[in-house]
Amino acid sequence: MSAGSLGLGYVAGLLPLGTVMGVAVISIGKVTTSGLDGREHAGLKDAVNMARELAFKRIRMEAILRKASGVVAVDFEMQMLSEEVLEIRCAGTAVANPAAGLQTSEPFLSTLSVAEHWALAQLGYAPREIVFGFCKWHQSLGYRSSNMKLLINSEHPDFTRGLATARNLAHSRLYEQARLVKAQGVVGVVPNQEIRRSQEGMEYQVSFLGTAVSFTAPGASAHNVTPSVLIQ
Amino acid sequence: MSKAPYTQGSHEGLPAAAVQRLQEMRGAGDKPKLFTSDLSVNEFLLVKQAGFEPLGLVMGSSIYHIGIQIPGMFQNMELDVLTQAMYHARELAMTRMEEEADVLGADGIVGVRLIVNRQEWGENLAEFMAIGTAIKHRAGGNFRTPDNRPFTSDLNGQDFWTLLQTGYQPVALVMGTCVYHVAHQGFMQALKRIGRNVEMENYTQALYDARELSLSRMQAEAERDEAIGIVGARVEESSHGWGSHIVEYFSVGTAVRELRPDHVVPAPQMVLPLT
Repeated sequence: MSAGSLGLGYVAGLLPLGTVMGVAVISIGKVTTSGLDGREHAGLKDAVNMARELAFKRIRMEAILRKASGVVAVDFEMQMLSEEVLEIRCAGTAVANPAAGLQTSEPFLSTLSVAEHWALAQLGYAPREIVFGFCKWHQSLGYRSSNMKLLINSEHPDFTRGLATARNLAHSRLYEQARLVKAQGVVGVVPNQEIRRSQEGMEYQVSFLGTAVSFTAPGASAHNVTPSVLIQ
Repeated sequence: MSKAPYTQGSHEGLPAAAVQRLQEMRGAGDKPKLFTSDLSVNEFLLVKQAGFEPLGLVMGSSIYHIGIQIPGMFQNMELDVLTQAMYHARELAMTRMEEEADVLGADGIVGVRLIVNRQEWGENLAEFMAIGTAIKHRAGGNFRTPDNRPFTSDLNGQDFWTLLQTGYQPVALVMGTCVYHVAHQGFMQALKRIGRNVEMENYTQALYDARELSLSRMQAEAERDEAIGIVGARVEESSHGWGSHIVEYFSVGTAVRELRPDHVVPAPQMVLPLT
């Protein structure tokens, strides 16, 4: 944390306590699925959910031990250690609000910086939870696509539809998680997409990472802030 | 190159589940309203300050098979099959993104990025993607384009806010493209140039032609949308793996119009940053 954000953290009620982290390594049960048309990698979906929940539980536990009100600037990372082993790791800075006294509710998790929290607070929003929607989808070549003429311009109907489906599933999961914590929205969403050619077709891996926020101060409005333009 | 007609409320290009998700985000049924946005927090704040509410992250994409066109070795020419593909696929992606925004009941989309992914996974296959944040004005007002699409803009939250402050509004993300084959130089030409500084006229001419075609197509789109100008216009150059003599010139920018004919541009203020 820089000197500037330390000062801002004092104003915003986010005084740093220390780094906390949570890690979970999961072995994926069912490895592959393949279908005639398109199918989700269901085993991986469950593993991601499990790893996310475990890692969040652990980072929260560390935050509670430090009597923190939340964890900011969380770095969320997901990686495959091998074909069958998945790791989710998150680390961030535990913060406390000295004015609020002893913390009783669950600490919040957020990917945002201290400055961003201050800006959000001006709008009346408070961070709740990191949300992560994920989907890995296998799309096979359909009948229409295998008959495509090679020399002309044309959209690939099956591949396009598969990608849209994968993205929608990942996006829906982001929402479901935000709804679970009764958030009003998700800010700073970072989409990530990987496309690979597989033997039978295409493989899409789509994820959305963001911070769910809820509206806590009805009196706040964007008009409390006067933006000025910096001409450089 | 012209856009296909657009019908407001059509969601032809979207999976049924996506339409349902977007309707739920608006607060349909027993689900509470929920927004998402890929804007940074500062951009989020500025968009709200400008009177808009972010509604949702919207995306559209198309995986497109690009046809084949073989140019003559010593010929400067536009490869219209490829130009057509690059334009059509981007337009499909844009339209799907606009359809998503319409399901959310948005006035327009800010922070639009157009991305072309072409990797080893597909010979002649490319993924075209459009992504941005759909927003709606709290007080209402007409922000749609003349052909009734939601407005689109590749400006970020800061630029969007500044544009509105100065009395302009974005109309549409306008684009033009041209894929061009630059002729190889002949043996005699190469021979004449040995040891001398000379302009390579056919190369210069080719690049000029291609850029000019691309820019004029972007301008034609802005004229069609009854804009008074294009801000943030730029020309991107890429060969998308076609080899060294085939280049795409892609022009893109945000076409703008005046909010009111008598708008005033506020005087700039001096700010001295401490960092």
